[in-house]
Amino acid sequence: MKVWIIFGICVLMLTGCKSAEYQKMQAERDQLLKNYEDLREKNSELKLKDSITDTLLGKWKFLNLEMAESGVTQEVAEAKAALYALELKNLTLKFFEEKGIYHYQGKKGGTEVFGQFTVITVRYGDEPFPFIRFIRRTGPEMEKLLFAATEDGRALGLSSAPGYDTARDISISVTPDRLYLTMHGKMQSGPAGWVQSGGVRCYFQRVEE
Amino acid sequence: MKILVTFGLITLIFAGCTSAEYQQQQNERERLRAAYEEARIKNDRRSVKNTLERDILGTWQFLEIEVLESDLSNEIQSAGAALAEASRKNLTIRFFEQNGIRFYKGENGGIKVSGEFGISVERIAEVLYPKLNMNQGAGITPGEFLLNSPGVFGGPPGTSNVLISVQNDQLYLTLGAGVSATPTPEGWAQSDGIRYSFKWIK
Repeated sequence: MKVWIIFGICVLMLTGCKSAEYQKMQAERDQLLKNYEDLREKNSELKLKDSITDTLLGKWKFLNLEMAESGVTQEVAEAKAALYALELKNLTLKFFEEKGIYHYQGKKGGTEVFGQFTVITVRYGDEPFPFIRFIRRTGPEMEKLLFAATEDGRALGLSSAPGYDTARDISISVTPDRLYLTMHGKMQSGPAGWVQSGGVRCYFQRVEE
Repeated sequence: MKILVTFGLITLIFAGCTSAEYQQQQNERERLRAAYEEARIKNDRRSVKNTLERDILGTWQFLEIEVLESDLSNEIQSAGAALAEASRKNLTIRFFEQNGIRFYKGENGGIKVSGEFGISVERIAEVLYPKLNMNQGAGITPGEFLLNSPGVFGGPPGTSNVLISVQNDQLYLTLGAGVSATPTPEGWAQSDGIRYSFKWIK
């Protein structure tokens, strides 16, 4: 009988230990899962997309066109950008929602554009990077209107050498009173190694909510 | 007679000098050939492959996952790696050879996997990059089992992006090292990848 009692106690202790160890492992796992989920939530693509779309709604007036930073000299490109900026002086863009669909409407002198837009994100490392896609209904393509892009997607007709696209879409950054649309340059291989040919950034000021 | 003696002496001196110069050239040539042979053997793909195929045999116990340096921020990847690490605490994998064919057998709790494996070595410039190839036999895919990435060993046979190295009693598998396949809006992004470590137990 005594043996049975001791044996029973041993079994109970062993079961208890196992259960405690399992509990500890489970708690550790839950904590790790929570950390992972928290980080995903902090860098949520959906939240960023919604926030950009909401801030974007309203009317914007063109301010300037400039070359994005690059590792190479861009005198010609800068002169071209400054010249083209003159043509965009009276450009206005309106972003609005109708029946759950997001539209854009633009006007530059006699040229009018209209279509739908959607904000997408691509994750590079932790960070979701926002882009805007314009689906044209009438008027010229937005790449052509804003960046004087050629058929093969070269902003201001620059970067004729072959290279890798750093992003196919126009990237977007928006604050309550400023909107930045950027067409990114290509990565091109030259005698001195890889260089990023300059991207072109178009920025706007809010004129109407 | 005097002239003949002088001429004879000059000829002897000249012949002696030529022979010494030839000897020196020959020695230099031998030294360079030995250096070339040494470099060639050191960088021989076959010998690296054979060494690894021998060193990998045995049973390995999973140790840890490290997210190595990257140009991009990788907090989410690190948190994911910590989660994957927690679920692999009891993972063991055995690499063995039978009738000239190389096999693997793995176990993690109730999960059991098996299949074939091989090692290929790629030379980029002077550097050799040994890679592990695994072909699924039974159980979940080797990529999912080992590296939490089901598609990793899913390419055509002989292609792999899992770097392998064995140092002392540890096995390292590194995934995702190198430059991103496509550039980011800020240019190319370089990463040292994620390293999975195992300890030799048998």
